[in-house]
Amino acid sequence: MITASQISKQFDGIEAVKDISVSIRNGEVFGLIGTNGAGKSTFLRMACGILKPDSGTLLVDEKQVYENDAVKAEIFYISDDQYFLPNATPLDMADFYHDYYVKFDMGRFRELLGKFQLEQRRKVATFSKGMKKQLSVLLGVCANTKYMFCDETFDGLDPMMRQAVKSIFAGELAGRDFTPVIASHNLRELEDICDSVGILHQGGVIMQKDLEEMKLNIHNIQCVFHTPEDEAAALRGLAIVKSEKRGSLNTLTVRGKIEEIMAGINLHNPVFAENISLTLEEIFISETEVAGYDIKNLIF
Amino acid sequence: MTSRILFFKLIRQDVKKRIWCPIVIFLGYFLALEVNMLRLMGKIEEGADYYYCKDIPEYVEKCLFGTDIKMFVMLACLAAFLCAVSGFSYLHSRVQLDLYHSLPVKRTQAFLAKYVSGALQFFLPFAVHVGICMGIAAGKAAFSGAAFGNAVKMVGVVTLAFLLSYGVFLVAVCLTGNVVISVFGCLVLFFYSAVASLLTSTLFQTFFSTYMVVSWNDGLDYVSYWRFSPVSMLVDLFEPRYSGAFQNNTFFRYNADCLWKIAAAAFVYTLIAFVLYKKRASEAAGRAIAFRWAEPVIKTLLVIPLALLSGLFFREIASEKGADSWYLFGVVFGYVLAAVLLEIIFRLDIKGAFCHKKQFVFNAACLAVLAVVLRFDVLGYNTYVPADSELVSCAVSIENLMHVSPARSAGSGRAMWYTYIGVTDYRMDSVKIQGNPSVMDLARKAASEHLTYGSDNEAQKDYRMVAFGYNLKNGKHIYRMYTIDMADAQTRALVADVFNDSSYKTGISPMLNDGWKKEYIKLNCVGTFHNAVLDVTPEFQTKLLETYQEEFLKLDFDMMLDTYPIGCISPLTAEEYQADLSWGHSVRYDRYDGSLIYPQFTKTIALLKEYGFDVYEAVNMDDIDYINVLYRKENTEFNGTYSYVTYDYLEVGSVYDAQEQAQILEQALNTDYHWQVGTYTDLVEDTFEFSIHTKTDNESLQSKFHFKKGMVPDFIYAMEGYQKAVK
Repeated sequence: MITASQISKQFDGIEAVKDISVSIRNGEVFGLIGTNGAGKSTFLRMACGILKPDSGTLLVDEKQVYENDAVKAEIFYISDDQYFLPNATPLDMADFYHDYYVKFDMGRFRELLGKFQLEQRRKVATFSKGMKKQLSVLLGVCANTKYMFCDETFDGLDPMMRQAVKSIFAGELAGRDFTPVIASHNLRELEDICDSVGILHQGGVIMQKDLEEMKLNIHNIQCVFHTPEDEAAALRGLAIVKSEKRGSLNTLTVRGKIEEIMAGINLHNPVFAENISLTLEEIFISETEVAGYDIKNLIF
Repeated sequence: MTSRILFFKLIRQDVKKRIWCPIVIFLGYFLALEVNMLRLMGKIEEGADYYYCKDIPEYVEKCLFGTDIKMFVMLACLAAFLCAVSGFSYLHSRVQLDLYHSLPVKRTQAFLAKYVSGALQFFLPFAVHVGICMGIAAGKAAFSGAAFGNAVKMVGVVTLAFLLSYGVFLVAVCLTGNVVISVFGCLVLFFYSAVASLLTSTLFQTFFSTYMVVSWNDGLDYVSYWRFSPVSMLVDLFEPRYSGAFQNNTFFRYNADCLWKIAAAAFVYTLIAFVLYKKRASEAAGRAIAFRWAEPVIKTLLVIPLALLSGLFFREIASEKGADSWYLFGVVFGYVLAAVLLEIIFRLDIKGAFCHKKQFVFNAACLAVLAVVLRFDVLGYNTYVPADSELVSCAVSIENLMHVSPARSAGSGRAMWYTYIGVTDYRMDSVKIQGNPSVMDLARKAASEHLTYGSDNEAQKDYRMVAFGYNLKNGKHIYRMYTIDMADAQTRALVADVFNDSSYKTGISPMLNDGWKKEYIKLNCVGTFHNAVLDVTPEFQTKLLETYQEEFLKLDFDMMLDTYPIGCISPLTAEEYQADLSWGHSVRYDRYDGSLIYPQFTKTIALLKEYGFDVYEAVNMDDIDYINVLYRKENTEFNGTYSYVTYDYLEVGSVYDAQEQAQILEQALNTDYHWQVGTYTDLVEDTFEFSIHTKTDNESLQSKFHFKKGMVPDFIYAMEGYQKAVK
């Protein structure tokens, strides 16, 4: 489990991360969303022991990370601009990591290289950006660490590859104790990968939620009532986050269990009422607006 | 065990990453060792001289594994630079740093692995090449136990030099956050204190008229921080010093005392580099300086010397009258330029030029204080004279009086040579006067009068220089050079008291000072007209030293100045004599740079005659073909600021008449006499100079001669050449 408590980091007087508190449970895919400069990379660099927080505590499995090689042996970090050794091939890079990560699985690495159609002996420098990202993920997966931090690793990956990576992650999550933390400036990139998400804005976490929980507890309902009295009575009983009315059509964002919401509406004999599924974006916009932030322009 | 395995894995990965580095080092030493060795062996086989090695075994033992060490040390410094920069420059790249610092390796372990890897990347190629050279030498039957010993020593010394440079460059790399700045940092750290001490020395020479440098002991390290610079440590390792620490008479010459200093410095620099590496924040990558606290310190240490250097530069190129104004301009200009440039470099942004105003003002204030202290001698450098109670002894050198050059032989076999020590430098070590109040009276008088040479040539015609070396009870040696006026009766009396002191006399004579500890085999004897080399037995040596010392100590200052010396002797040890012979001539054979013989030294003259040299022996008139006379014409010139004197030597003519030749020879005085004591006396007519040419080979005697004062034969003035010259 990764626990950050009130951690801050300044660079030359500029606060890159400010009082971040976040908990990442083991076995979940955690997404870290934020605009450029929100502090995602700084947070990840602190979490994997590259940077030392100026204040606060950052514990991985209840231990400090910075200068703790035992803890770092369970973390694999893929930076936004991953460095590969000069003139190295994928096998050279695997050999390199093999020296540092004792559980590195060379056999599996070769196998995955084949599956992803990456040449073993081709120089990494000749790979495309996307191929390098794939290679980084494969190296990270084969390092068999408990935690894998990916900084914007999935941004720009084509859908097929995303799906392939997702399936690898799923396999890893099912097969062993594995917790990927994925930072991105684009929520859409993480929607189908993450279990829970934290939103960073201007150095601080403004929200951290479980995606499924969010999806189950917030709904978009469209309904029409026979009379304004019915409508008023029906809506009175709902936890409405947001409402919009065009003619007689009500579009409502409502918190709560869908069965209870629909039962409440049906009591007032609507002309029609249906649950329209919310995208992750819409859920976040709603949630963050409730929290007092207008992040539409920030993360989408 | 796991960590040990990881350590070797780290080294392996590091070598793989920068495999070019050991390859470059390997190639460098291949050219410097095997290729150079085979090239020179070929030349020596063909009979060519290389450092005067007589054969290949001597070359292998004494040159390849001896004198050539300086080249290998220079290569080691370059190798250290490569190893430090290539191994640790990842600290300057955020991308690389993200990878390396995210790996499960403690910084201590990472540093040690990279450090050891770098050291091995130097040591292994170097040691392999030395081994191959040993093999080649053995193949040519030119390898001996002594050569092996020298090779081992050489590898040790070169490795030590590498470790020192490596430590220094690591400090520079760990202190900076940018590759270009770290290269500058390497240069600054490697040379800083040496350059700063040079600058300090130059400033002192410019502003303090009493400043003097004593090279044998302190030299530039008179400015005490000279020795902290790695380059000065390496220079000191090989620079011959008179202090005795030097191993004379060998090809493989280094100051063994310096090795401990270098080892200690290498350790300290490496430790500093390690601490910086540990403390260095990862986010420092890309900055000019990795530690914010270091910026003002570096700025102050660079800006102030650069400003003073600029002041000196503008002062030097200006006219004498405007020197102060140009000095001021140079200091201000240099300061602003240096401060702004450094700030821009630190910020990597031209807009940051004036972003630290407080530091700017602080450094400007420090600089102003320094500039004023130097220019106006606020701390009383020129007037400093220690209290008598602080003194252990005092060294004095009355300049241009009995200047006997103390020469030492060096080398071995065919490669013998002389190393000359400055007369003043020698005396600052050899003269140790105690309990003579006139010494400090003279110092105080000279310091308080503070005479300096100006444009009034007439008023300062009797100005002379006197050097003082104060050996203080606290172990310090402080040196001053004063100008005194010998026309001042009190000053002259004090100088006489100093000269008459037996410690002074013994100290200024290398023969008396060192002779008791040496074994001489030859004695060069020089009379006015002829010379001889006598064999010296231990018995003769003892007698000579005792007799000469007895008579020389009796030589009174006034007596000396009123009497013409009639000869000169220079004893030689076996090595010194060999050095003379090895150069194919006798460099000290017929010159008056030994111990002077005065007519009053009757016992010495008798002793020399007993052993085969008659100092009074005259030149055989029948041998003389002609005497050529020159007239020294004095010209006063003006360069726009001050006037100065130049001399032209004009032909007076050649004298063939035997009677006239006899008249000339009666008044002959060796010109070297003038160099020895002439400037304190008025016994020499130095407007004329003549040479004697013999019939046998139609060549002149090697000596040149002056006339005694007022004793120029009248017919000289009547000669056509003279009349023409004085027109």
